[in-house]
Amino acid sequence: MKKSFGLAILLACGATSGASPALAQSFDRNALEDMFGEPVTTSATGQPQRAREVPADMEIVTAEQIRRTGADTLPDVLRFVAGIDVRQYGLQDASVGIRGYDTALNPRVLVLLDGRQVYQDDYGLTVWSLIPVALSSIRQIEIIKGPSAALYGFNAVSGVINIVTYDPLTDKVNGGRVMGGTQNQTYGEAVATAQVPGVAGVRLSAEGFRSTEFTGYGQGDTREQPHSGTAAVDGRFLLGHGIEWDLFGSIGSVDSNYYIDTGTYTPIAFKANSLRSALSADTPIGVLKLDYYRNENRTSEDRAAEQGSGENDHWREDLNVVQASDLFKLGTNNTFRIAGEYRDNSVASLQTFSGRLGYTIVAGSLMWAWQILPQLSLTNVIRVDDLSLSHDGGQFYIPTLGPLYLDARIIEPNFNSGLVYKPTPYDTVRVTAARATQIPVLVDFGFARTYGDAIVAGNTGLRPSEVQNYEVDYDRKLAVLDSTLRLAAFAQRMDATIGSPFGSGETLLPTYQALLRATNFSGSNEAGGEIGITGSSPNGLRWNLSYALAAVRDSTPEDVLSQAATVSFQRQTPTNSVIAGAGYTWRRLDLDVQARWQSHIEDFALDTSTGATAVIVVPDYVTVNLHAAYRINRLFTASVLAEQVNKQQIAETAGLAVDRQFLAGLELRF
Amino acid sequence: MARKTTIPPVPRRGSRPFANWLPAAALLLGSWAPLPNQAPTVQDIQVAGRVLHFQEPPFSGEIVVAIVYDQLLPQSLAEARALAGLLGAGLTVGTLTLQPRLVEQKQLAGPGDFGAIFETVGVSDQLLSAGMRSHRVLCLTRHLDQVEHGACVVAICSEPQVAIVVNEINASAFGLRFATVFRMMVQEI
Repeated sequence: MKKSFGLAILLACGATSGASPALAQSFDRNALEDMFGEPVTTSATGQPQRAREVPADMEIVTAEQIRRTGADTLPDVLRFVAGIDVRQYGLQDASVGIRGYDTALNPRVLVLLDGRQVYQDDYGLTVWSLIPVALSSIRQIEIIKGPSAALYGFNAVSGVINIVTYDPLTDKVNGGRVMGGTQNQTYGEAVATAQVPGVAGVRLSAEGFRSTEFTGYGQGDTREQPHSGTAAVDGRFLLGHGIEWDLFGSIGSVDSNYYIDTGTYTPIAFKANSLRSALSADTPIGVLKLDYYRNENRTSEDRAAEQGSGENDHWREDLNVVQASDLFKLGTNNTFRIAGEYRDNSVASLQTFSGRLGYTIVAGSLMWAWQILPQLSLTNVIRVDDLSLSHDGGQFYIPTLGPLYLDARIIEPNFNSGLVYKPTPYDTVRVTAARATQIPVLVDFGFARTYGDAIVAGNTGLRPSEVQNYEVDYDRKLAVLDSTLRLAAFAQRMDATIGSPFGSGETLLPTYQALLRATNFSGSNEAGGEIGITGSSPNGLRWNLSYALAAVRDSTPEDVLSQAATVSFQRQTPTNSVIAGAGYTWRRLDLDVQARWQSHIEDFALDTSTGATAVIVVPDYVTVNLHAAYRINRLFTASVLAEQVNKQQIAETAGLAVDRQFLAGLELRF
Repeated sequence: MARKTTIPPVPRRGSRPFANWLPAAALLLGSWAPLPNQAPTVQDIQVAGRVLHFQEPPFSGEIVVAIVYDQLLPQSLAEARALAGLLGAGLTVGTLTLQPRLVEQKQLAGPGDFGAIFETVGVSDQLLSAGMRSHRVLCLTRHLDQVEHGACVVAICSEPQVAIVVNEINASAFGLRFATVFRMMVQEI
């Protein structure tokens, strides 16, 4: 109907000779990026924007940059981004933090795949190898540094990492990659896209990884052969002019060691599947979107000594999310986005949650972007979340303290404000302010189990943790050097930090039982920033240099913090880090080197002989990666990657030391 | 010889409290979209082609672009020839192939199956308006003043950064519409 109407207008106008009306997407990222000559994103405010104009400190890692790292995991790609901390506990276990506050199983960074949450709210972690994406199907990784809860809701307190894949409707990605190397590492991925041009596109992707774990003494029970695999199908269909439907499904599993908040390794098996259906339409009242997705995650501890005994913890998490929004422009200078969200999130396990524990969230948000002057814009986003927590199943009683499971309700407003000033085509200045809220994860709310004389319990009375952040950024395009200079300075305050049941220390009950319970602690302050320059020259040379400062000061008394790994942020944040890199393309050969130095941290480990938590000093270290890729012909590229070439072993954490790795690979693209 | 045309003020609609001081403030705060004095580049054409992609309804295939010039003005003729040279026998941008046709401004209102108009420097706004009324197609230009104070709809600039200015009143006057997302990413005046 709409197509016919468009055709009628066209014929009436008699405007073209060979032109014909075409269906178009409501958000054609390819066309927009070709037009503006820079990445385009919707991650900062929900509004499509040029990367330079977003009212947030956003770093974009492009597909080309990913390829040049030669990496086979997402944390390895992120390791060389200024302001990001990657702490590798195992070949499949890495915690990623933004501007410090990184802890094992860091719950403060919200990770999304094409806007769908892949961060898990049960334990508060991102299982990176469980994300169903092949690296070659990633168009760009968008990293928002700083809180962004007004768009995404709870938990986007340190920042957001949105992995954006190619659009199967317009981008044809076909190929595969195999890599293998030291520690018996094997990695493989395959991507295939089928398209009916301008109407439909379906992409299938799969990837898998297997290796032998790092050598050395690992606290706890480590598995020798961590492995993972995922598969995904993403179909996009143009139903009419400006009307697009996206259908996505994925499965995945991981068996690996994870360094959990007890300060020990635990072998865990994760299994996940997801389904998503998203509809968007460009209408006279704006761009309407309706998005539904569900994530199912099964988490099973798999300690060999307790296999078959029923002692291993396990649960299933179900997340259902419905989001609706309208993005529209009023007049020439005001853009609005009105959005609503319903979220139902629960974990079920008779063993560890005494039944089913879950919450529903009803949220509403409003974004207003005001183009005050051609050079000056102000964007405000406000969101209010209303959370209701409830439990179905048997009550868990903590001796002398009473019942654990009590209904709770949390209502929190969050906001993001950003002023963007572009005095010249070369300069951008941003001033931002934000309030974000971190809620306890489901394990914090209601994990409940007795291990011998120890009781581990959540706390439904936990308060959310509030983060206030203020920031000034300056970007300068240096035309002479074909470089971009970026500076950012920020200050933030976090109140009522949340300690997990396992990482908050223990108290002795009058019954002489040890109680490990989730609790709130005092706050934490941070000041810091980044300065960096990236550039390239037409003759194939490229370079990057950056420095990041993250000075964290915890308010909680020292004697408490020494036993509370999950909230001891000052210890666990590297105050200084420097990243330097260079690359050169000569004919068919790409050569790249990246180096990172970071100052010392203090991590936590459980002394299994005494049962006490010990602080482990992790000295400062330098790690250097070398990557070379040679295009054999139009189809094949061969590559070699040497990770941590400068040192055989580096202690990045209190766990296993990271070994030097050599990998060789072959990639097919057509 | 440079010729200055006198055009009636463009009627402004609705409440625009900052309309009067916006240009002055823009001057104070620096040049947002510098006027290109240099010869047109293929990047300019590519930006123009992409803008056409975001028209509602969008086109694909081949369209004829009328490159309008003033034959009495050497700069105008030179720009027109440069644009036509860049387009050659047809330049493909995305799903569109742009075919150039040089049109003297006085011929614009006459018959012709143009899909778009590219206005060069110094073209009369009255003649351009007449041509646009006749053909009802999008007008693009590299000269911001032809959009700010003239009848053209879209001004483009590809260096040092891509800048696109859309005169929303002119667009409405000629029945031209753009995709919502495009409108959010350009400067509308």
